[in-house]
Amino acid sequence: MDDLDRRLLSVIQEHFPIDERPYLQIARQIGSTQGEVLDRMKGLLERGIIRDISPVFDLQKLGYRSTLAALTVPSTRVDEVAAVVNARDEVTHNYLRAGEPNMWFTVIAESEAALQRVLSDIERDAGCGPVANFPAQRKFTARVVFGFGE
Amino acid sequence: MTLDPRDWAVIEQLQNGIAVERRPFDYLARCAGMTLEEFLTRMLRLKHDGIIRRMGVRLRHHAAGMAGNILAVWRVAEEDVERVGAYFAGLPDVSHCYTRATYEGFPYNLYTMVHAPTPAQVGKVIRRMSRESGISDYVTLKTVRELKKSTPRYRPPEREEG
Repeated sequence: MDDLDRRLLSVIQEHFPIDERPYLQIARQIGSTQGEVLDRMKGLLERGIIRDISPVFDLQKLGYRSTLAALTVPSTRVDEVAAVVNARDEVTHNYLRAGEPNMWFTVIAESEAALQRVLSDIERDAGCGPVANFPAQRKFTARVVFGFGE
Repeated sequence: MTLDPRDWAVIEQLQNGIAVERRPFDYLARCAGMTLEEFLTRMLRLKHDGIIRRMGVRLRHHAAGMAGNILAVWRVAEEDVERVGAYFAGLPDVSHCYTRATYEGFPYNLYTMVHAPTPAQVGKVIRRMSRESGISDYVTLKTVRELKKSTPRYRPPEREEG
C-alpha cells in the first residue's frame, strides 16, 4: 500500500459519500481523479484488503438482538462441535481461542426469545456442557481503527 | 424512527454491496424500485438516525497490515468500570470496549479488542493498558483458529396478520 491507498482507506472506512457520484467526491477529498480512485478501489478489492463495500447497520435499531457466547470443547471434538455451531445462520463469527471456554461465537436473532432458542439448541446439539452467555451491557466504543501497517 | 417497507428495500439493496463504478447507486435504486433521488434521501435519513452506523468499507485486518489483533478481557470492580472503560475506549489501538455479563468460572467483565501491526506490539499495548489503568487481573484470549466469519443478512420483520 502506498500513501494514496492509505489516504483513500482513511476516507472510505467511515465516510463513504452518499452521493450520486461517490468516487468523484472521494477523489476530490484526497486530491486525485475519479479514474484513479476507481482503479485503486479495484486493486484493494482484488488484493483482499477491502472485504466489501457495504454500510454497517445498527442491529438493535433494525430490531435484532445479539450476544457473545462460549463453549468449553475438548480438543478432540473441536471440528465436530464447530460444524454444529456454524450450521446456524444466526451465528456470524466463531473463534477457537486459548483458555477455557475455548469456542467463542456471536449470535444475532430477531428477538431475545429467538436468541435464547438458538443458544439452547446449540447447547443440546453440541453436547459439551452449558453455553456460557455473555450479553453486552455497556458499550464504551465500537469503531474502526486507523493507522495501517507499512 | 420506524422503518417502512421502502426503507427496508434500501437496506436490502445496500446489503448486496456498492459497486466500484461511477454511479453505483443508480442500479441499487432501480432494484429497490425507486428513483435515485428517493434512494439517496432515504440513505441520508438512515445515516442521520443511526440505523446506518457507519457508511464505509469493511477491511480484512490481516491484509491491511493489522496482524496483531487480540481480545483482552479484564476484571474490573464495579466502581472502577466507568473510569477504566472510558480510558480504554479513548486509546487509538482499541476498537471495541464493552462490559459484559460474567459467568461461573469466568469473572472478567470488561472486553477490549486491541489492534497493532504485530503480535509483539499488541502485547506491549496491553501491558501498558494494565499499568496505566491499575487493572492487573486480565487474560488475553488469543485466536487459535477462525472457525466462521460471515456478514449478517438483515430482513424486514414478518408482519403479523390483521
